Amino acid sequence: MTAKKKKVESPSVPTEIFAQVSPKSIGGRSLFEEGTLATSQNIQNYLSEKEVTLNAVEALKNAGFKVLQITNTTINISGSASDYKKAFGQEIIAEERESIKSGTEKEMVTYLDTTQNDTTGLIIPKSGKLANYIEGVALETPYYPFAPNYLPPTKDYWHLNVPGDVSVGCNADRAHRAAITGKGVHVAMVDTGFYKHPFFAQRGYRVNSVTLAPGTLNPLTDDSGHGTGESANIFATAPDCTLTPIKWNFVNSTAAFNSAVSLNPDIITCSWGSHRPNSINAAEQTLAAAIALAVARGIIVVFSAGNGHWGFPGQHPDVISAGGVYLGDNMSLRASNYSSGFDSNIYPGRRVPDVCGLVGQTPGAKYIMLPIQAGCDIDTDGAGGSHPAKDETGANDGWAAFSGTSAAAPQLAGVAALIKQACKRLSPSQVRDIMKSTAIDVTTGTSATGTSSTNGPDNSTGHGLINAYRAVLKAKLRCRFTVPPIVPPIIVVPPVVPPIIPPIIPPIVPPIIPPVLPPVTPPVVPVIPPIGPVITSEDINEGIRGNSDNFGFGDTKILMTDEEMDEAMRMVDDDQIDLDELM
Amino acid sequence: MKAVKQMNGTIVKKITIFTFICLAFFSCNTMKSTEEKNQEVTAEVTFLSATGQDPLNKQITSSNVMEFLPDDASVAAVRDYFEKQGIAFRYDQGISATITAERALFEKLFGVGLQRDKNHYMVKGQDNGLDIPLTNLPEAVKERLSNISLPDRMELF
Repeated sequence: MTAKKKKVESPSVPTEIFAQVSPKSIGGRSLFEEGTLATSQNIQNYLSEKEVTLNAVEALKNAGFKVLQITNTTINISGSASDYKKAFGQEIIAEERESIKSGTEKEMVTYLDTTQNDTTGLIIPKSGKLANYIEGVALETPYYPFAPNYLPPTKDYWHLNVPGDVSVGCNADRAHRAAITGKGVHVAMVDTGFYKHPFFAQRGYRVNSVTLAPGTLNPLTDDSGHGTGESANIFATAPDCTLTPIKWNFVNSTAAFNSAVSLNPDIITCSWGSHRPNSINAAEQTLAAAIALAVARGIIVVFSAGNGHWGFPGQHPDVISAGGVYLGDNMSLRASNYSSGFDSNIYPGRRVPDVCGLVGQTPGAKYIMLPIQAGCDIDTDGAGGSHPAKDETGANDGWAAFSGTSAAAPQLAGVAALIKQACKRLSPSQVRDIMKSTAIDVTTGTSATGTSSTNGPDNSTGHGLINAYRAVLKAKLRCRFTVPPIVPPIIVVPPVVPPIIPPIIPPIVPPIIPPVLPPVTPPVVPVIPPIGPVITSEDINEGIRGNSDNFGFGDTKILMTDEEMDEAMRMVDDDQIDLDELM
Repeated sequence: MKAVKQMNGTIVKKITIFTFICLAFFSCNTMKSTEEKNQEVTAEVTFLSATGQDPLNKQITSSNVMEFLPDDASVAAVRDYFEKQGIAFRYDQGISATITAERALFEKLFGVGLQRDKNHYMVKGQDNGLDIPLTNLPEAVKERLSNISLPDRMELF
């Protein structure tokens, strides 16, 4: 029995109040007597004789209660507060008390009680017919489902867990160990909302309050589960970034995207879109403009390419288009046959995707075990069968295996956060270029749209699987060495020399004195200063290992050509340069 | 006489049942209709650019988007008009603003019939069902706009 706790305030009493009524027990001792602990050893003492139970039922019905269930020990009833008052002479009061509903945070919970005794919710009939058959009435206490586990359920089929497997699969662990974790970088995600799953609280991830985009309600719930699950993919690659979820309603998309822009984040990630092989409609054109404007203002925008769709905005030229690569149980990489890859008909020359995250295979791509709101759509849809058709988790356990390019976009957004932490001043297109140029080429497999992976960039996986560590290294190098701007060829125009006109000789010729000619001056050729010292591998090493002031944003800037950057990246690949040394 | 009484009784019963069914049907329809009229409809209002360009069917990217932005006067004039009609108007950035109103007001103002499909609306009797005709708008507003369109429902990827 619960001892009374601190009373805070009096909320309203519900119109229908449920209770368990205990008819007089066979053993003569009340189930509600202080110190009673009902166990399998003594429960027979608290059963009631059938006749007593039936009389109690009759008396309760006569008092106006609904009898909902009858067992050997208790009778379940419901009635209004006035029914209880008339039958037992007790005023029912509602109290808010501190309790734990879900997760580890304390919240206020409404309890029903009377002033009759010290045991919460207990009424003991003192007189009348009811007192003859009934030893006590226990007002029902609110119960809450236990919060989902912060660790995922164990399943036998091949799948990835967050954060660990996704992080290592995207080669982000090595960047994290060099303290590149996305700290100080703000990511906004437009999706179905965010539920405070213990997975996030337990790991101390930074999640701001949900921003409600126009046309949405309930900032604390994510009835779909999609937004919550995809958030975990961001933190898998950027555990220290700050996330702001923006809840959207599937329709009011431009306004939702603009809500994200108004927060002025570093990165916006969206795991949705429409199937647009040939054209976009007017409202989508407004979204295209909103994306273009965000990128023009320096915000990195990531969109999923689609799962067999010709995804828009995943094909917009300004976004980082996220495709899918499948990492098999033998560590092999192939194009995910669930993900889209195509050449855009709307934006000629646009190849989709740019680069890939980790995505499962058909059917269903049930591949990454992600935390979601217990009992949400994804939780119930995936439950109740065996993999690969279903995910083999419970329908109400707060975990589900799913992916699609929905998972790839937040993984890439996380890597973009790492890149921004490594080199804040990079523009969205520079970040994309770094991701593309450092990705792992994927040479086998066919996308959901029928395009095949080949050597080098292709329209199946783009430049391949994201390689967070290499991307961060390259970003760091970019910040330390300034790549020279392309200088147009200087055409040296010789000075215009006026034609020498011979003097007109008058008819009367005085004695001819030869004119004194000025000395001939050679044309002035402008001296072009050298672009910068030529960088060698030794210089790179020295620069990296030396005083960063000489190679960073200080007075001395060393210029680096693309070839030299390639050479530096080769050294990275040979483990001659380590990110730790760049820090 | 008895047969006539019986027949009358049957007729009364039938009329009562018929009336009840009619009332139930009417009341259900009225409830449904009221509920539908109260539902919110959202549309994107696209402006002509400050230089009069129509941004529709252009490839808008970060390199040219500034050319398509409307001027402040256009946004203010269109905002003023819609807010006076009782329609919520929101402009954050870009080439468009979002307007939101109850379905009945929307249908009345634009002179269209709307039909609901999941949680988005379409214009009845139109090919793509997304374009809102500008014909009912005053010239001073119309001349600043490219189009008004209902957004399509997006899919989760």
